[in-house]
Amino acid sequence: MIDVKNVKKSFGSNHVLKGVDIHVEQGDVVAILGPSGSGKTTFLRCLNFLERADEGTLEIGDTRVNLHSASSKEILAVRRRTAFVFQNYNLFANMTALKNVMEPLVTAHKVPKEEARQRALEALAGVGLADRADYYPAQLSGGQQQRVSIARAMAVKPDVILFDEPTSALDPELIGDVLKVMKDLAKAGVTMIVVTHEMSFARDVANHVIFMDGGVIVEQGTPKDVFYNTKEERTRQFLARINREVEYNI
Amino acid sequence: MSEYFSFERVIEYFPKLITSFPTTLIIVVAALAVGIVLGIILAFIRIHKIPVLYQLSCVYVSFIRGTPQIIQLFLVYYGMPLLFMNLFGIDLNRVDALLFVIVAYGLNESAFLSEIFRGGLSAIPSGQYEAGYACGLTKIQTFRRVVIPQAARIVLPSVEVGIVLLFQNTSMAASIGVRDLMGRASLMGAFTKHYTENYFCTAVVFIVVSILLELLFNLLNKKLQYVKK
Repeated sequence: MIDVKNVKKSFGSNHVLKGVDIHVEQGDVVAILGPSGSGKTTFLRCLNFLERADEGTLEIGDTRVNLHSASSKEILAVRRRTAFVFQNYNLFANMTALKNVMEPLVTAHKVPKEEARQRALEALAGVGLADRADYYPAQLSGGQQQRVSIARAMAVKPDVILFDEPTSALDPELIGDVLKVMKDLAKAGVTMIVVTHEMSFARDVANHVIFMDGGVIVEQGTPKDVFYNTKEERTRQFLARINREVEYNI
Repeated sequence: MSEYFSFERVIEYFPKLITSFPTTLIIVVAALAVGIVLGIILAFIRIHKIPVLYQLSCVYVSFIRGTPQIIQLFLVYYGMPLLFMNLFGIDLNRVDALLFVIVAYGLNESAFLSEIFRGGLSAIPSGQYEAGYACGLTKIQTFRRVVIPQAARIVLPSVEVGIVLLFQNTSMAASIGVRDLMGRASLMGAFTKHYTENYFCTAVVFIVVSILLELLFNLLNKKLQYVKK
């Protein structure tokens, strides 16, 4: 169970997060939607301290930390219970796919090397890249890199995987592979918080959808509630703009 | 030609000259060690912009880069004993000239290497650090396992140039009486009245070492390529 309360964050005079609360149960797949600048990525980054929040608390399992004043020991503890998938993959450029997946296991979680190797190979097989284990990131396509990055996240069996727009940097043909892997994870009961622009993923895979705008949660509920029984005008506008067929007058 | 230059003499002098090669090697290795340690500290100061130290390091680096190395060598050789005498009352007059060469060259290397290290470290994208942290690695682990190996590959060619230059610049040490390769060649030239053969031998040693260094770095560079073998 993950409980996040009252997250606030400003960059100078720009109030990016104005008090955000979320509650996630084990096995939940939470999709966070919203326009650019709504604070959704910042919110996600605050959860594992890539961004230091001005205020807020995080409860994850039996660990409870202050998002502003946590000690480096607490931060490490939170990071070792979570995993993060970046928009631009951020695989370690100096390691093969296999070594990338092994790195958090061996260095952060102190798993013996041989066991880590087995688990890493399983994770790579899980994302369909067992045959790419010895390739370096620069030799993989964007979609493959992102799947390795997901393997790296799931191999440590974290309490939750945080996804920051995992498909935004990919070309359309490769998005499908990544979404399929994420769908498999959801089916396997992995808890996920996903910041995304993929409406179909939010609608079909997530069991909880959050719509953010202007640093606050505007609306949340089941995908059915948010997409079909929309209560807030702002959500309706956003969804209308996203779903509108684009007309080209040439 | 045989009047002024003969290969017999080259063959005769070469074994005598090569005995001073270890001195040259000591200068290179010791100056490099000093330069790397100081260079890392300087790069750290400059990246983190530590107040006061940062300004001092800027002056230091531009001084070293803006003055000829032979002047730095003379300043250290003639200035350091004065400084130590007046500040600490320590007499350095009997200290081997080799030590002053190592100090002067080490300081010089540190300024150049610090800029190379700084460039290499700033070239690593912040995403690599973030990925390390997000994986639960500590700052030190991230630096050691992710950042340093990538930066090493970036700085390798510049460091190679630095070492080759350092090696060639050891020839200036002869000007304060150190009997390295070059010092020995001058001495033997004066003794035998055959300068050309002696300097020719020196040139051969320098070119051979340069080629060996190039081969070594090519090997290293290949080893650090991030491609499937």
